[in-house]
Amino acid sequence: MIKTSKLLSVMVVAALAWTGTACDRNLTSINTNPNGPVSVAPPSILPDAIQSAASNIWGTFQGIKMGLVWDQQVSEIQYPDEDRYIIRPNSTSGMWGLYSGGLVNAQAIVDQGVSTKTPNWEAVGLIMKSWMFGILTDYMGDIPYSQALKGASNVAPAYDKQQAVYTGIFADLAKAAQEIAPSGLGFPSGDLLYGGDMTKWKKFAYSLMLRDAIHLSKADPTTGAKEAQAAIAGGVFQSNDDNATLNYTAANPNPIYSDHWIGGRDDYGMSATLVDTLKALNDPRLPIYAQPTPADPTVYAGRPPGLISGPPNANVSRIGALWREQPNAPIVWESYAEVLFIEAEAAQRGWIAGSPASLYAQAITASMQQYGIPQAQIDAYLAQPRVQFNPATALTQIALQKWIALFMNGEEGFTEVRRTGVPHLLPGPDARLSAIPLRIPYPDDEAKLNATSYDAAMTAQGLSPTASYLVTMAQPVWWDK
Amino acid sequence: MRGRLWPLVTVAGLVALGATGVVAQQPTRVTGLVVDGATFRPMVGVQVVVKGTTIGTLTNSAGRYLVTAPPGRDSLTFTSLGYRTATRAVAPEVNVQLQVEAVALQGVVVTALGIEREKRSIPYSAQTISSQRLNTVPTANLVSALEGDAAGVHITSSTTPGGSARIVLRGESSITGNNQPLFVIDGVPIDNSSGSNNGYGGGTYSGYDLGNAAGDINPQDVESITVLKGPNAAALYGSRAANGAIVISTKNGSARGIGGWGVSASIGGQLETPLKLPNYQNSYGGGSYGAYDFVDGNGGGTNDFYDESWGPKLDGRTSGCVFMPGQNPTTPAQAVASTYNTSVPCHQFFGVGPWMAHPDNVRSFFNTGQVADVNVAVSRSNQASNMRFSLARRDENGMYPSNRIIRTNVALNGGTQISSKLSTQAMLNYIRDDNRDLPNQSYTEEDPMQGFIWFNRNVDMSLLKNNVYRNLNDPLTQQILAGNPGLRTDAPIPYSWQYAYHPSPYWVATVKQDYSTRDRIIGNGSATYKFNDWLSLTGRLGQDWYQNHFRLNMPVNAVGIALGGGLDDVAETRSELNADFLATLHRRLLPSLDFTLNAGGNSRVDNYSNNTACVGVCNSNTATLVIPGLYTLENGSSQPYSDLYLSKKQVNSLYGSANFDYKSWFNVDLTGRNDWSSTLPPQNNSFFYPSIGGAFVFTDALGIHSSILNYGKLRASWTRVGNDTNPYQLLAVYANGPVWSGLPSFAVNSTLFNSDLKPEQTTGMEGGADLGFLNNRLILNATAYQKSTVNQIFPVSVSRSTGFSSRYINSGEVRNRGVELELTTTPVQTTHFRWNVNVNWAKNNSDVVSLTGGVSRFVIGSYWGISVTADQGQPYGNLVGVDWKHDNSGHIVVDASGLPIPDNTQVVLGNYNPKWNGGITNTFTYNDVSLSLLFDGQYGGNIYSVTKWFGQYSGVLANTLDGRQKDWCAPGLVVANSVHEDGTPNTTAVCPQTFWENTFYANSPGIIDASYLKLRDARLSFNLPHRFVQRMGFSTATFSLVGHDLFLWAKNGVIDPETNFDASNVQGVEQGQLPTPRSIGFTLSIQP
Repeated sequence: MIKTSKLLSVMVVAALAWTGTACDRNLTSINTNPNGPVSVAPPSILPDAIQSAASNIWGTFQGIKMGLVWDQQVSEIQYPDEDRYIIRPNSTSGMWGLYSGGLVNAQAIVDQGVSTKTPNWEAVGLIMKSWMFGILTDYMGDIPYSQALKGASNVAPAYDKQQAVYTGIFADLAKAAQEIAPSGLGFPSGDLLYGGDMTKWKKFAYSLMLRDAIHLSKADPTTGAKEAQAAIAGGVFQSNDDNATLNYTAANPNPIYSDHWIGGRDDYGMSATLVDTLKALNDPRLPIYAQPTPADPTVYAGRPPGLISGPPNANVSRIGALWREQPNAPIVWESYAEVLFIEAEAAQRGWIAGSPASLYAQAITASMQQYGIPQAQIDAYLAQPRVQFNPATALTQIALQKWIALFMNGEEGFTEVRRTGVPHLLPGPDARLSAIPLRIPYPDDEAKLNATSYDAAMTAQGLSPTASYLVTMAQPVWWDK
Repeated sequence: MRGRLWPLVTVAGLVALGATGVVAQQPTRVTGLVVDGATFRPMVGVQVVVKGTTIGTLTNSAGRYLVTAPPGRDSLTFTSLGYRTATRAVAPEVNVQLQVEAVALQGVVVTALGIEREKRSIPYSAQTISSQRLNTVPTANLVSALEGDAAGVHITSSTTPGGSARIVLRGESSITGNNQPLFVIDGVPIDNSSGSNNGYGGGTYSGYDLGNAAGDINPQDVESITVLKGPNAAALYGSRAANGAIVISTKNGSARGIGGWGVSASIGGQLETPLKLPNYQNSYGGGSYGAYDFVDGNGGGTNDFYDESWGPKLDGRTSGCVFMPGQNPTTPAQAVASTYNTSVPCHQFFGVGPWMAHPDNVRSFFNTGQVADVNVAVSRSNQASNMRFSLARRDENGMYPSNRIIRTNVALNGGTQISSKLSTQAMLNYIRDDNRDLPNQSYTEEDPMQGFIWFNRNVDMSLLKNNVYRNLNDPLTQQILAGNPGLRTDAPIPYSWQYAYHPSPYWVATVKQDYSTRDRIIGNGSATYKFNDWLSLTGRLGQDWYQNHFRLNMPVNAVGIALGGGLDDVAETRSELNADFLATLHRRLLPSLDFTLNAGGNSRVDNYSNNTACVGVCNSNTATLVIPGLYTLENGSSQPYSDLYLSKKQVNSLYGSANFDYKSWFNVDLTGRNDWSSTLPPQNNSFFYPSIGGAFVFTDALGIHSSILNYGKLRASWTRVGNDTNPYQLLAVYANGPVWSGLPSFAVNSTLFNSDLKPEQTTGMEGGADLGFLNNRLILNATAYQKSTVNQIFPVSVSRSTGFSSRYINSGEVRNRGVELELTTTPVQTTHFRWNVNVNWAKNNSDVVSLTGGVSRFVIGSYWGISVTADQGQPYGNLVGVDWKHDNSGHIVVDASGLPIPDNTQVVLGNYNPKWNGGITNTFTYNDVSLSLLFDGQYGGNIYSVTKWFGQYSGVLANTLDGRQKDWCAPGLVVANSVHEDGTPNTTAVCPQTFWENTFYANSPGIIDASYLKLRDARLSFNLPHRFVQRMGFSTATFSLVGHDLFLWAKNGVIDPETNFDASNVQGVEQGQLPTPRSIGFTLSIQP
């Protein structure tokens, strides 16, 4: 042992001598992070922008609980909180994840498009931004827009009036559509929506412009008509092939599938409002939108909205197998059918030329074709008296059919039921509000982290900064007044 | 660059100071007898060392010794644990009486950089913890073993077997940074990282606590532990000691058996049972609003997916667990009008059977844990060299079924005097932790305790224990498969009480498998060259290297977790290399003024890598196992998740300290240190910090020789310590986005980094007194301190509308002020009997003085709606959440249906820091028998208990019986002292379920008072008869009965408030803690 001791001591001295000469490193270079790139080209950013935006919008809290549940297409069957208009603390903050998710990445794409003079990059970034800002403002009213996404140079962005946000979106979409150069450098990879087809991005830009134009039917029909005309002139979707569709994959499953199969949750059933409507109209989309009840494979049933304790879950249909049971279900951001419904309404309002009746029938057809319904069934459906176009009730019919076609598009569905009042949705018996909500409250954090701007925005919209969420939810947004 | 200067400095030092002068003399043989000053009995094993050398011996069984002092050495020191060290001049015969001391007022303390100092000379508080307790009361974690031992030390231990313990000295000072002290072994820092709740298993399925790294050290190898509490004490260790330091000296061969072999050994065994479980109700079973009927456990029956206990009364009925058709009562009025349908049998998860309580269905899940400890150490030394080799193994079959934890420690220590000038020391420690089936603590369905909060109280645990799988031929199984299409029939169907969320806890414990190992090597070596008797140079090299390997195999059909199964594999390597040198100069400047100068430098390099790969069960990976039971990455149905993370950090330092000692009653210390850290920008990466302190033994200075006040020392010091940050906090890199069709993607980092960070700065002041009364029968150490940390580096949340969620700032001040008292007294001392009392008491106030412009609240972490915050102008560690709305007179405001309305604003509901904490040890010794009892506890402080919050929601806790004394909704519950919004008194009764489920919207029902008192340790020791032991060839043999965490008195009735969510700064949150083990056992130890 003593010999070992001596051996050890020799080793110690040798090691010390070695380190005495070995310590030579540049401290700054040691702190260079090897775990990620400092800069990345837009084709590698776009997939994340698309996917993170989609998971914010279709993620459980906003897209489903405050979109599909509030437009009464889907119901909550385990914890019926949002179904009763109870908002859990902090639960609306996810929607603001768009800012630090999809939006800031879209902004990075725009910035690189400008700095490298690559117009297609700038255009796609602007379209992505416009799509997300449109959803945000429709949900919440005034939002940080012109001062947003500026990082440390503005940590307290002021809120823009919703009208100003709309003006900005229209300008950005027009700019993007005009800049697109189909043969120029764009997205050889990373474009999960259109596989790099810039022509389709251009149609998406005009289709979004058309969507936002129709939203102004009450608040500013003049601008609405002008923008609708510009959109049609520029070229909107011409077929279901043009749909803005995010095709999920087995490895990147859609949010409805993930919630159930990855998250192990069984939180959602169909809403009785939608299921009963589809049944009343003999709608062939029913077995696609919904699954039969677990208790009886021949029965489709929804859960009535706003109940503390509803029917047994075995007697409630779940969301259709297309989304809930398949990881690679597509999520359609904007469809050809929606565009046709808007055109039908715009024609009915006299904003654009065209036959409302024909556009209405084309719209229903496009929606059914989207789900592969055979033409014979479509024709039979259209032939029903309750479906046939009637000029006297045209706007109501268009709105009802649009609401049906917007299934799985809770954010636009919730916007349209508020704007059109069709269908006439009523809160359930155990709901905390006496009418359906008219907006989503801002996240709780915002009142603390951006207090001055938040207080000003609430006041500007006729709300006390300390208003309870129920009061806020009852206050319409600008285009809904 | 700076590293290159080192050899230069060394050589310059050698040349400049390399004078020598030792006068040749003859060696002296010294013999003598050492006795106990009180009993006059010979003392065995007293360490006798020639001062200034490593030459020494131990007294034999007759108390006698023989040692040879080399020429020029004029004094001997006599040291024995629990006795005051004596120093005597060399003479042919030196006989010594050693005096008992409970807390050393004098003697040697190991301070920063391993420098040994006379206790009377140090200007700050340094408390030494005896290794006696460490060596006799076995605890798995060295840090937990310090509980209650020193004032101002706050320890929270995880209840997970092998889990981490968190230690904080003098309060939290950094808002988001590390608040734990630095651990130092034999002068070399080691790592004390924790695999926290977020550490293993990746993002989604985390929750495996592999323990804090300093917990690996074998308590039996520890000679002494010194707690340097303030930044004052630790200025020379640099940044990481801004929160104090725990300085550990390990045993080496010089302590035992000079001139021959010495063998010491101990064996121990303990049994563990749960100390405290929540108070469960046993009157109502599973279900909702009084009804339950099992079909498929997933909503196919009546409320059979309800993992709550709001069902029918557990009165043994075999039919009538559902209401007559059409009845769906949810209010007391409807409940009165409803009747049970007695024509329907009570279907349960096992079939039809009596609807009855199983009151022990949580306690019976836990086994009696068994722990065995074996330690063997062999040592040998002669006059030039010493060596110690030890081997230890701890084997724990924990309370959690199938859990097993084995720790093996191998330690080799040695030192040798190569020549009269050159000596070396080295230590090598190998540690192996082997954990099997650790319970998950992530509060997911994988966490057994979550499954007992969301539970049906009627579940018969023995059925779950005896049935792991369902029989496929059973019609009930077919029914379950029909209602649960996700269950895969290519793998066995688990037996559970519910199929919507919960696997059986036995399935989780025995079918699901997790393994983790840690291999660790801690080594250090040093060489000291003494140029002469006043100048020496030491070079030291230390490395701490370890690798954690974690593996989780998740079988197919994990209900509520991952029906498709998966695996998670994490390999994590961490290393820390320290190279340093220290020159020590000691000269007498004037006849009465001694001067000591230490000057040195250090270079530290930290390396870390983490390699994670998984199928399914981490980071939202969606792959599943194609072939059940085959746990390979290639068996994933789609691309596995994989990630590699690397980081590196280097800090170079130069430092020095000067001590002036005037007549050994007045000491002044000055220190200075400059660090260069790789983690700060070049313009700010060099920072200097100084300290100054003084110690004044006024009894000596003023010539006070009173028997009332026999010793008095005053001390004061001031320190500043700089601190750097983690690597890569200056410049953002893109984060990894999803891999889509094989192509990677990237996302803008959601954190705004700051390329102009400045070092954090902690300024500490302390003053105190050490007083000995009645010839040290009563000793009081008192310290008051303040430390303030400014320029804190932390990420603050920003409005996401900026495009980012947080940004790094360099701001904020947290100030800690407090008082520490240690009192030691010997109320009774006779020839045969001694009673010692040792009291530690501390009070600390931790205040967030400022944050930064515009930010008044920083959220450290949020769980289940509660935020742990630093609020400007408030104590650190607030628990912030939602309370009920109250009117101006304090009544709870309810809505029309009689339910409390949550107040929208976030309010402070409590704070996790205690008002004070302390411990008291009583030791009674009668001849060879001694009894020691350690109580400790805290007063004040809060915990947000998710066990309580959700245990109420789910109706499993006893306090939810109010309102269902007669039947499930009879008489119903009227919220006490409540009014409607218009001010009218509320008289509306609601079903208890409605009331408690409504508590989801407020956090105040989950807050508890964390005050507690624990009988932490009890130890009854017998020294076996001397003659018997000597015949066996040993000097002493001690048998002890020991107990740990024996009793708990807690203000709240639900949990053990001493709970540790993880080792981060997010404290004060409990979510489904495992029960604290109460352990009872024995140890037998023998000494050569």
